[in-house]
Amino acid sequence: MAITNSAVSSSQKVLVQEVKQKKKFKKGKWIGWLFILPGLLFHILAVSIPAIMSFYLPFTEWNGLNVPKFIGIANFIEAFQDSIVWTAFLNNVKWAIFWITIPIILAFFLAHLLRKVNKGQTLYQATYFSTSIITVTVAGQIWFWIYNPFSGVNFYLDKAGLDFLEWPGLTVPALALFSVLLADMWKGFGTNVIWLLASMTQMDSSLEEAAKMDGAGRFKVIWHVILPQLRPTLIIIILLTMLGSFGAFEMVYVMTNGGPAHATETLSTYYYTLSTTGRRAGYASAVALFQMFIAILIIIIYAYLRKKKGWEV
Amino acid sequence: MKKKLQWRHIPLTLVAVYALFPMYLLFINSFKTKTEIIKNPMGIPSEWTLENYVNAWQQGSYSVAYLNTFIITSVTVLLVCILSGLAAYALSHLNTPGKDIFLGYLFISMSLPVGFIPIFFMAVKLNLINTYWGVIVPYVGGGFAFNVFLLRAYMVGIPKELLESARVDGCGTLGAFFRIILPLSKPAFIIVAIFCALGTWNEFFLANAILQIEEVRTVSTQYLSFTSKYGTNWALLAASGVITVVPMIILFLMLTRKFISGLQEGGVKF
Repeated sequence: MAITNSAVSSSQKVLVQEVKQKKKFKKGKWIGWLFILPGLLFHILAVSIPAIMSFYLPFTEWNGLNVPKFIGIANFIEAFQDSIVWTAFLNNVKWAIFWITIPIILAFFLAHLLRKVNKGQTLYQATYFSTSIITVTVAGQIWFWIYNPFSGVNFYLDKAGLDFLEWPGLTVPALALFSVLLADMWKGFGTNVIWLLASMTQMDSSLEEAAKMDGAGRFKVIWHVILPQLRPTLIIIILLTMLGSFGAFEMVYVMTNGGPAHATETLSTYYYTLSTTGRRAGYASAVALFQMFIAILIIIIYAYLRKKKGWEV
Repeated sequence: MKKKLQWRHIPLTLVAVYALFPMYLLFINSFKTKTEIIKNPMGIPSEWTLENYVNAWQQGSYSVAYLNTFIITSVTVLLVCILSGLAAYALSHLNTPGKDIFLGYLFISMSLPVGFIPIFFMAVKLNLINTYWGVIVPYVGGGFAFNVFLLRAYMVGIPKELLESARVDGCGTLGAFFRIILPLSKPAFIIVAIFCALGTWNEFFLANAILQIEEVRTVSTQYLSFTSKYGTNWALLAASGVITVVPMIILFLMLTRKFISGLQEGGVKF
């Protein structure tokens, strides 16, 4: 009897405590928003309001100073007839095709080689990533100089009598975009190596051993055993690369500013120049919205494939 | 086995040379005279000179640019750590109502491209052009969502009992953050801080548009105007290039392992 009594009273105590705690928790609940609010304020100013405005401004005529005047879809009609927009869009497509092939394949093989290296693995990774530390204006200038017809690489090619190999780089429209891409690849290839290597170290090595025991060749092992296990990481890398490619800006702006004759113009450099120096904020916003539309489209395609194929990421 | 390990180093070293060679060029040419570069663009200087550095520092008014960049970078890093940290705390350990919806909203906002035009013209309207706040606000706000996710993922791993016991000891909600959460999630905060510092120091897209006069420019934008002014004087440009990147190189050399592990975790977390 005494035991049950004490049990009851203790359970009552627990109950009372729980009620007290719940009250305290309720008080603690709303305090959470007080902690979120200061950061959220910055977020609203820098992300939310600009995002909303990005959907309205394309329908206005605006020089950035007066009140935006609603003009319907006139900006979009102009954008579709603007050949520079199409050049820029095609350059973004080329940018994406380049980035999801050469640098990712290079990164894959580097990571694959690094996997079996014990000594100096971090040193190699640090070296490959170190190019990303360099400020883009400086990196652009270094490559600008390497491509310079009178100095850099071409100087030595001339000296060696190999002047037919000379790379006129940025001055010839047909080569300019590729030259900028090479510089951009130099600056950004390291991150993918680190990501792929991190994902490779988590692989199940017994599968590989088994495949080798069955007599699978080097490339068969890569194709049938390693790549399927890397799929989640590769998909994310490709997604981020695509999004980054359609937003490509800095290296182009620094090295060529879209020239020569808009040959390296991207959507970002075009709307950047239009809005800052051209003072055509409404029309520039329409171009920017087109870019945003592509980004959303890429994400939708990714989400659709993810659901259809049952990817986990 | 030993032989097999060695051939790997050939392609790996070749790519390392590809990565380092342009940096070597920048570094080596900053010590040459203007005339020597034309004759000897890639070799070791016959005569090492520091003259370029002195000239670049003065002509590029780098003392001003350095101060600007240091102020902008440190204020941004501090605000990012405090504001994202507090929000991550509220979203991981305090039963904040509506937190799942809010996290969903943050996630969606992360995939939107930067609303450059609205940000630029908001800065014009709010008289923030040529002020530090004109860039600090978008830096802090733009990285908010990502940093909250990163810090929250780390804080979720901290056991709730630790917070409970801190509360029993008389710690307030805010006190628990500073005494328990902050010290325990220090590794995550360091990663957020170093990548934020790197990103802010090198940021160009917004800084170039918003910081238009020399008095407020950061080093990355200052370098661009410097190159357009002294476009042919490669010795001067190389020296100022080194000046521009050297603080981040030092940070990277000091915290190499943190940078690499931060990237690795980021990759695996996805």
